[in-house]
Amino acid sequence: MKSAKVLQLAMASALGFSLVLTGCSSTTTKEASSTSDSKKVTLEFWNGFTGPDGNDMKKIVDGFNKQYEGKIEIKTQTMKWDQFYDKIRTVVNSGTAPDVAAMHLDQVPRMASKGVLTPLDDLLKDSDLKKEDFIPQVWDAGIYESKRYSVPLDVHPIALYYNVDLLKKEGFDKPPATMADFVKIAKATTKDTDGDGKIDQWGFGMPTLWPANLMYYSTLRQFGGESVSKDGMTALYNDDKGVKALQTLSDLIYKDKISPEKIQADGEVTLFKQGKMAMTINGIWMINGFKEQQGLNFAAAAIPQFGDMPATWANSHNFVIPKQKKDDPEKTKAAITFINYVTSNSIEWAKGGQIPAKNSVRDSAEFKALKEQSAIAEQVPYLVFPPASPTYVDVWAPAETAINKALLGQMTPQAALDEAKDKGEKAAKAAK
Amino acid sequence: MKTSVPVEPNLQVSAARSPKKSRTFTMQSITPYLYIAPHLLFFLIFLVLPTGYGVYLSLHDWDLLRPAKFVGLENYYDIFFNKDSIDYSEFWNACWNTFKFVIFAVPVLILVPLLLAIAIDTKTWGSGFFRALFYAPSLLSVVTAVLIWVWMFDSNAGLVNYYLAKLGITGVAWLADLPWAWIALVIITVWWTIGRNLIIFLAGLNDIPDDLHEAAKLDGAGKVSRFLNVILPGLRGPMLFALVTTTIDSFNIFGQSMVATQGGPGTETKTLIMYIREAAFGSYRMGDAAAMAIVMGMFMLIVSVVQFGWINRDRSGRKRRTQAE
Repeated sequence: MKSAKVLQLAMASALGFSLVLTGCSSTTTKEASSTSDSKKVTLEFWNGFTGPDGNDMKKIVDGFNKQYEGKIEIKTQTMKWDQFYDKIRTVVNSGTAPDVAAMHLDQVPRMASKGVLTPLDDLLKDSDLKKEDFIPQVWDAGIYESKRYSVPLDVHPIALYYNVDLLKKEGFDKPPATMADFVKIAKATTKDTDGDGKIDQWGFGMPTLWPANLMYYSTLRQFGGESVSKDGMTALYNDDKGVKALQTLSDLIYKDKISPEKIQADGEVTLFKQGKMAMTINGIWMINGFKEQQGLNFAAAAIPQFGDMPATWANSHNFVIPKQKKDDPEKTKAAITFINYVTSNSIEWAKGGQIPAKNSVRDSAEFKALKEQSAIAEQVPYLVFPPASPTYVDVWAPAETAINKALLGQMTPQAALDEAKDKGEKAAKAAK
Repeated sequence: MKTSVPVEPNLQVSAARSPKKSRTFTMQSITPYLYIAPHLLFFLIFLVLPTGYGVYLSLHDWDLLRPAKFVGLENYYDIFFNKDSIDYSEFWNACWNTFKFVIFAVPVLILVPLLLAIAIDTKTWGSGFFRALFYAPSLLSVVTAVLIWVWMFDSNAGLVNYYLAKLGITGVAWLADLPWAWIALVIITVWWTIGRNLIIFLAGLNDIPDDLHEAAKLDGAGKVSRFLNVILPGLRGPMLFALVTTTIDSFNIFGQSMVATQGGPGTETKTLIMYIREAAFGSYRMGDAAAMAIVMGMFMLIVSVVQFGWINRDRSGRKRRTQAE
């Protein structure tokens, strides 16, 4: 009898849930920004910081609202990134765009090419936001067809995380910087610890899915290769350098045998957290997740150099001003003030696992006290960003499938990348 | 009901002669529409309108920003004939993958709940508990359900491979290798969605009169014979419903492969919805995506019609046989 009630309850809640869903889909609350108060400017600020980063951003925005009380007020709307990118296009079209927004750098060229964003060059002329104050590569990456569309808030590169205890046990007290060192340490830490004839502790975990694509991008650039042509229509990743880069990553699994084969999504993160893997490569945003893992004594460093020169993949959160039906100089000016404030007060932001794009914040003692972040920030001079092309994403996406196939041992790097080039160029044509 | 609509004007004319009678007739013809009106309204808003809009979009090129450009049947031409189009290769790959999943999953999704329902229906001790137990996973969201299995299927740190290793089986890459990825996806789906069909079959089993079972027993029918001749025919209605809805749900597979395999290895488990979503919200090709969605809808329609026809033909065939007897 009791179970019948449980069942009824279960079915009722399932029904209720579906009702809630239909209810949600049609309601979108949006606060109308009031301009009745002639002196006070209210700005709507959209972003996709739905994780812990949302709280960090809220702290900064609260600080701004307090300092500019009675003059400028920021009203924040946070939504998931997927939703954000879908919505931002439609609201610009209907003339209800937010006054300022944060988005990823690799999305900026695409949005700019479709006329979603306001060029910022004239607006920045009289402001304190200048190239000299920022990491030059990421500052330049915000330019599309010789116009600036975005101001960088942070950079988030990939990094090497290593288990301090496992390295120490084999007599290593420093993370590897070169390919030779990396393989040496990884081989020493790849072991059968319980003597059953099977390896149960690995030196490294080479993922076959994301973030393998970020490692490949870095390695490609380290060998002097390029991902996609400047106009974004031709794939360049299948040349000798691209093939060599993918072969290098594949060799870690099949030749050096320092990584388990066929790692599934996030499998290497699990092993590293369990202390069964000495080194892993992932984004800077993993810092706090690893810190929460009890009993894991880890440290962060620059990724080892596999190719001929150093290069590390990074992305960046950027501020943009979406295009309005009618320009309001008061509002755009206030938006620039806000952007300047946030980039200058981004130390809170850095604590969440980011590197501030502004030099003054990065050089501060407060940032240097963040052990992992400042170690990863040593890669700043050679960070590489995705090329500024609207169709880059289309040409690049099939390469991620190719990386997967090659690292699973199903295809040779050359064949996989050739196939990806064909698909990517077709996709770019369709998207143009 | 169909005939009552054209009849209505005639009744109005006769209203002058006997008002009482005609009013009841008018009320009678309106009442059913009033009953279905709320549903009809939502049906129009949430199904007919979006579908119509989808057809409209499928004849256009639209990136959500610039005004939609009419291109006629070009989007469909790209899918079916244009070998230089990205959709030509990718759509059919995803389509074939989706069909594979339907073929692998639907029989299991029907058979396992059916056998479980019969087992639970014997009303032995604890059957109520099992009823709730098997239904419970259906209450989880897809991401929760799949993540539980992703951790268990982890090839190096997962529970499944830990126990397999004790049996001497090692190195199964559940989510990164074929055919394991499909097997894993079917297992996840069965565990997650078993509850609904189980409930449908249980309700159906309750509707089979006990005297049929008794009569069959008296006639000396064994368990297998009773299953084939009493239970299966008695479940025809629920079976049709379960089969059609399960097939449609299986065509719509998205969350499981999105979370568990990300479409890999390569694009071997990338399903239609995954690719359509990618075209729509990855490349903002709304027109192409709408065209693909409509082609997919047509496939599902055809399969459903075949299923209906198959089960109905079965019924008429049996009827004829009983008449002959």
